[in-house]
Amino acid sequence: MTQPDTHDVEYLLCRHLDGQLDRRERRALEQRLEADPGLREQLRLYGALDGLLAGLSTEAIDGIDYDLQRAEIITAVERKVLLSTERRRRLVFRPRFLLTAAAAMLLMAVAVGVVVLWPGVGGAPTPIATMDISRVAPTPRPAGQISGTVHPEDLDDLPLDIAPSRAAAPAGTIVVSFGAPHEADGAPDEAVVVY
Amino acid sequence: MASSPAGPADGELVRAARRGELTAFEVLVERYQRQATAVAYRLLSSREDAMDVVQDAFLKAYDRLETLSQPGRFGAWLMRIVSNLSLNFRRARALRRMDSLEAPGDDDSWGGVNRPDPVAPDPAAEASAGEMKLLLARAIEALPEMQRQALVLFSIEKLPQKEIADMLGCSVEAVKWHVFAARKKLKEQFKDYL
Repeated sequence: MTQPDTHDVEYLLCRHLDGQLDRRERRALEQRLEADPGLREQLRLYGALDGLLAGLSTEAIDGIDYDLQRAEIITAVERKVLLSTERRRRLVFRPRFLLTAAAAMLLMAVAVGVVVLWPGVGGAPTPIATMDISRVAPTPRPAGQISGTVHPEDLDDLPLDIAPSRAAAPAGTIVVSFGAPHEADGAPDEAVVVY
Repeated sequence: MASSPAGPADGELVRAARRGELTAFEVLVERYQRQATAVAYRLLSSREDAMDVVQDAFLKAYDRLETLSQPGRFGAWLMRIVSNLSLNFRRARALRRMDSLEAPGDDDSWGGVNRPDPVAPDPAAEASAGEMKLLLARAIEALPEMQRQALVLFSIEKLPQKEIADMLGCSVEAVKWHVFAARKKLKEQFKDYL
């Protein structure tokens, strides 16, 4: 490209017509225009040319039916939308796609089953001992046999006549019982039984 | 740039069209089809080619609405599509004509068609007032590609130079130079009739 000389006075004239000169440039150009009738003629020519060019913009282009053009454009867009929708639908309902989807779902179900059910794979819960602790009222004649009682030696003054309680414990159950009488407040004696 | 007439703003229409409202896109078509056709026609000098390009441009615009970051600037964006498509169309057309060995020349802007007689002293010598625009259109057609595009988009379609620079992939200064070079040539050709 051969670049115009930006200091070319005609370039300045065009920029002047486009309103792109700053105040200093415009003042300088106006002074030159005042002194140079030839330059004024050039400015007039460029201005007239610009007017002619601008006229081309509004000039109707012969033979164009814009309503028809718009209808054709919208029809083409509609066709495109329909085609893309149909393409998506065909992709989703394609037998191969369905088979693939079914296989994928089956694989996923198997994988989930393995993770959940496989011992040690899915972190299945390890059974832990359970302990039932209940607090029951003492019974005078426990059905179970008491094989022995243990209490700390330094608690000799603990009243041992309190029988360990029993709440439906089957025979043979080892019962650990501890409790205390409520002599002071007169409440029934209680014991805690651990089966 | 075409000023938006009364009615929903471009951004609003673009967002509605994105939601699938085709009537909103139809309003955009109605709003910009004349300008798009004029730009394509000035760049291609063929009504039929311009119509094809404009239809392609609107289809492409509809396809890519989601990529339009500033919906309010639909018009400038569309003109950029029109300009680029016109340029591609013109190049393809020139290649086809060269392939058919139809008088290839040293200046591909003509593609061997309607080249003015280089020895003619003045292209507007015998022009009546009514023919002036036709001669001017032909003279514009004869300009080098970048000059023609810059002139059409700036001096005829009144697009901002920044947008033209974006369209043509050059600097704003380059746009100014192209426009000036084109004006200077046309001024020399038509000086006796201005």
